[in-house]
Amino acid sequence: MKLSFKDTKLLLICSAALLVLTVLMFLFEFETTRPWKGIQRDFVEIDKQVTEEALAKTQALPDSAAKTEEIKRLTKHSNELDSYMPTIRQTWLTHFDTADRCTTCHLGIEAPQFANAEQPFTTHPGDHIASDRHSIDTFGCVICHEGQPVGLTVDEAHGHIHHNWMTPLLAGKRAESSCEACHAMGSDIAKDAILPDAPSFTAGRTLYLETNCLGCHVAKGYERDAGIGPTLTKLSTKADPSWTLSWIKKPTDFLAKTAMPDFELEDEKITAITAYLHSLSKIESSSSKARKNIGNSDAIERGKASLTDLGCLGCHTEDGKDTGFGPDLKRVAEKTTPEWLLAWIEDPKKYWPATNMPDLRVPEGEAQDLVAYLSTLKSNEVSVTEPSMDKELIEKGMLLTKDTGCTGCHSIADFGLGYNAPAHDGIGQKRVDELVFADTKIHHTLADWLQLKVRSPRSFNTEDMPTLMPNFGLSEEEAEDMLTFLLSIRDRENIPAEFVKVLETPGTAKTMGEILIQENNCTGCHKIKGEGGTVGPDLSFQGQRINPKWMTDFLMAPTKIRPEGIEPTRMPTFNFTEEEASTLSAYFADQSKVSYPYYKPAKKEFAAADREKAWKIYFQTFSCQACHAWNGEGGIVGPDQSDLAKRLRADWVKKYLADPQKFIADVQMPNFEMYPDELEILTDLIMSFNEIPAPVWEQIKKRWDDEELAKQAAAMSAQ
Amino acid sequence: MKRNQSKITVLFAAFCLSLMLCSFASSSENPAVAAPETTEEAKPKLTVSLELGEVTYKHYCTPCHGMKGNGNGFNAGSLLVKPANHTDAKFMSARNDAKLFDTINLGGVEVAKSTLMPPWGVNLGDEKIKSVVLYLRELCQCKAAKNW
Repeated sequence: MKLSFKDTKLLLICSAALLVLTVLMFLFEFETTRPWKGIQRDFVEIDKQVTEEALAKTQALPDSAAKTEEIKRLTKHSNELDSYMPTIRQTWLTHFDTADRCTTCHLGIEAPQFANAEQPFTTHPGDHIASDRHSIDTFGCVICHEGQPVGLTVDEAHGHIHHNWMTPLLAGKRAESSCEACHAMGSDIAKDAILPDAPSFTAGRTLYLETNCLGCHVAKGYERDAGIGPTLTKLSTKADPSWTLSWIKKPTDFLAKTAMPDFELEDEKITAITAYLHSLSKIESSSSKARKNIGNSDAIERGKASLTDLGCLGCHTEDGKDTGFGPDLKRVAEKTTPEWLLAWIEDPKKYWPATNMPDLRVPEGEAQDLVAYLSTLKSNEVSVTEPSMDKELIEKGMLLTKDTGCTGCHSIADFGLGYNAPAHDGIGQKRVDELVFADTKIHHTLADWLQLKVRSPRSFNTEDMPTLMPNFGLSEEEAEDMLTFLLSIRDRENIPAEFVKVLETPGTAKTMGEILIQENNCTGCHKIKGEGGTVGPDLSFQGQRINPKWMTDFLMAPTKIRPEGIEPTRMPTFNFTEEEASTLSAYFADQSKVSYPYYKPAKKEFAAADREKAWKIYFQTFSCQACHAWNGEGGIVGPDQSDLAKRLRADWVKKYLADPQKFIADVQMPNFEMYPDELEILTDLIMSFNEIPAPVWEQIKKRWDDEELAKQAAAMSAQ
Repeated sequence: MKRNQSKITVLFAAFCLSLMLCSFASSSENPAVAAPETTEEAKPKLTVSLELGEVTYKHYCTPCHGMKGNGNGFNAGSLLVKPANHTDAKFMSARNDAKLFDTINLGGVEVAKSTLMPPWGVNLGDEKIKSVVLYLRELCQCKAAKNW
């Protein structure tokens, strides 16, 4: 059959009409079944249910105007839901030049009644968006949670897996990595500074610094530590090669919480490294000074007591749990020798200049007792092995030591500190196509890659790209926190200046003081703001109490203030520089809201009668001399009072005399319930002590002593 | 209407001003003057016991009276009048518990003894003092003629 032109035309029109119809039907179908529309319909169902429940609850309430109002509102809302037409919800974030459509699906995000609803309808946790600080109208969701905010399917919007969007969704606590964009929470803030709204970020940052990631990696704004591991150049004077061998093999076998990671090295490599390290120094010959009290049970007993009295346990533990600031001492004698222990106690910085261990100014005899006790702390007998003399092995060990990254934490011979691992700058915005996933089965996202990398660093090793990063034994939770921190290291340049708000100002007395307190573990012995040890005095109100000039001098060269009988501990010498010491003084002044550095006590002139009255109060009414010495002479319960005026602030002395227990709950200073006038003149007298010449003091004291003796004699004869 | 509005504006301004003044007045209080408060926790009620007496004695009394209670504490040497020997049964039995309580509570001066013995009443409180008295009787292995 031959088709005519007319037939062809008809056929063409028919098929065109059919095509248009099909396209229209397809579009209609597509339009009605859009995923976000389905989600909105689901939400309407849930909202109806919630509204009905609320309505029922309200109707059960006793009648009031508020009830009627609420019922009216709920009914209106219910009617609105019945005629709800799905719509895309979009906020234009004027300050950031971006659209945000997340609330198209996350419909309950701002409404507290959906707290128990499932995603995507649940309420935002915490008060982050409920408060004005992070209003959803200003910041939308994308500024903190990233993702692709104009996407209208789950995968598109979250920038997940199949799409490899450059900035995929930061769900849950990973969103804390965005806080850093507006709130610099970086390098100049103390490691343990707490940012309560970003616990995961804070924990990750602490972990990042404490694990000394910066020993091998660099990151903008952070400085490399002066080596968190001890110097290894003099290793033979400290440890036996057999110990070094087992230590490198599995550090956590010896110290449960050590910062030393597991390098997963083969035995032959460990042998070579050990040979090299021990070739750098010679074993120290046995010294009778160090071994004087070894095995002497009295000395061991005294040494054990000293360990507590000196405050060693403010930093060290000795129960094997290794939870302290310094290493656990339970097996210390397995690691080292009496000779090394004595030298270390007497001057820790001589062996390792960067150590945090302070000089405790231990007299030789007491140090020998300590060595005697510490030498008993072992669970295995110590073997003695000679270091290897094999030149080839030593040479191999040297190369391995350099390549393995030991120098990231330890200073060794002439090698400089540090290691050239990849920089961390911009690690939080690394592109997925730059990452090597090797044959791992994880999702190809940056977060998944980082998480596996920090937990099991060698997972992505290939033959051409072996990584040497050791295993730090992070738990799943620690790895998640570390991830939050690492994701925060990204450049965000589109933040308007008006939103930048530094939470903790770097470089202030507060932050610098907190850094020093943390680095030196002051809270191991002292309470500060309610937290810390009880070995030394509570420092929470130090600023109100102490003359800042005295505090600076004291911190640089501490002396004993309280007599031995009451307080066997002495403040160790931390070798603070003047700058560090005055930073701490400024910190304490800042905490107590007192002026710094100027403190000038008001000078008071005594009337002769008042002075006489004050002496009577001092020597007779309250007999202060019974417990306090003057220039080394007198009572030894409380501190010497001759230079008290240099140490304390007058207004504090007055407050303290009025109620000593208010400051130190179990203080052995009685509350004399002094009258205000007594308080006044006694304070003035004490604050003038440093101006009284010794002969004058002695003369006055003798007069009151004689009077006391006469009184006692009279009382005796009366009996 | 306009008049009403300006009235409201004036009222509102006055309100703001008073608020500002209030906040200024409260902020002008010098924070340095505020005494540092040790947290006032609800103190658990203590019960009188020999154990409490011993702990209290060892913390507060031994610097002068000695760990053994014989008056030879480390601070005894610096005192003009020798501290009492609490192991001396004869001396201690001549004092009844009320007298011991008063001495600790109010100090030596209140019982016609030396002012070198300070009053501990405010620091210790009744329960601790009574406990110390129990411990004193343990130290001297003696009883008073009369009890309270």
